[in-house]
Amino acid sequence: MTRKEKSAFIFPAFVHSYPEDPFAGLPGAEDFFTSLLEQVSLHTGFDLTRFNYSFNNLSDNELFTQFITYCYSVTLANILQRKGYNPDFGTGYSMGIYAALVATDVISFADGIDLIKNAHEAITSITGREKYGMCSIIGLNRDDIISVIHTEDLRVGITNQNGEFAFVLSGTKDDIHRFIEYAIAEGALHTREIITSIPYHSALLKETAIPFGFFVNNLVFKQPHYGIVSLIDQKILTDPFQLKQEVIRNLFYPLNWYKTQLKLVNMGVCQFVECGFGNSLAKNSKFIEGDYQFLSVTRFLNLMERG
Amino acid sequence: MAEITENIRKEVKEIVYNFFAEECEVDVSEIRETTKIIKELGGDSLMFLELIEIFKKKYHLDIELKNIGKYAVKHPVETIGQLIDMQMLIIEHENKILEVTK
Repeated sequence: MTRKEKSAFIFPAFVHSYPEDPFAGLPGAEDFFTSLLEQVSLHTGFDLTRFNYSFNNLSDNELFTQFITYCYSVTLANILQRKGYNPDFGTGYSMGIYAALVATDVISFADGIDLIKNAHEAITSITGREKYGMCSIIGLNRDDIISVIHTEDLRVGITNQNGEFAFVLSGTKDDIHRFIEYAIAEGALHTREIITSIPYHSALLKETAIPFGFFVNNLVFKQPHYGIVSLIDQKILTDPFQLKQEVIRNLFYPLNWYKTQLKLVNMGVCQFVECGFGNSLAKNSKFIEGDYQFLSVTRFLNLMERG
Repeated sequence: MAEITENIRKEVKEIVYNFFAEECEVDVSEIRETTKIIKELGGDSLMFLELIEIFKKKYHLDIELKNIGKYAVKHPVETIGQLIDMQMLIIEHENKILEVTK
């Protein structure tokens, strides 16, 4: 990159709704994205080629939405790479980790498909019949949330922090519902149940470590072109073994996006490029002070091409 | 706790209007006191939180977010006008906002 500022490419989690035109200002992106959907379909046997973002027609299938987000993020990474833009750091938010690894050539696109599929199978094999869920909450701090959980003896836990007063929790479905009620009474400004049946990043998924770990350890991970920052402990991962451990732990260890962004800002990152649908991470970033900007890929390309 | 003057009211209104115009990418002239923040502007709770932080810094307010949350449960905010009224109460009463009977 012909600039002195440090940048980070961020790969967000999967979403259930899509922008009006996710390919606007990105010539060739739609065709490339379609070709990736075809590859996923061939590889998995699931027909994702019928996906249409305008109709949002596959949003009721959690695995499909993960594949769609993965394909879109890899499409954006491909555009950036073809134009010669490489960041100083990368990171994958939640299930965005797989696209982050593909973007820096640690794994192939096909390996990413297998990782997503195997992670999903490992999770569903242990969650069984019990119903799980997740929610986001704004307005309470960590101590307030922990106090509610302990006082009401709820099977939920904080599984991500997006800001000083913005958190994500995972747990059993019933207790997530109870938590939302108590949190509102405690003064939460906003709560929202997340559309998922899986308690991502929760210790409830610890048993995935064996089957998923076995699968991950049998894959070949290469050295990344740039450091991947861990959302679990904010370490900069440059070694294939560390990256494998990160992928395994990502399913059942709590994340901290807030600390990760702070770390990147403190390391001098001035440009965060959100490589995915929407701008959810950009929105959260407003509560971290610093001289940096969040950019969509389109905006980043415009800025770079204007010099 | 601050005494609410006409200047403060004007300032708060201006900040709120400009904030939502910028965040929601609409012309400030399109915003009215009756404009619905979520339904018409596409606003969200993070914007609300950001706005509170702006006022906390500007007026050096001693207010816990959870007290605002508890107040908002009883007095839900839907429009720009309601939000301005609530901000005025926050500036005036800070943490004692829960004692305000409206």
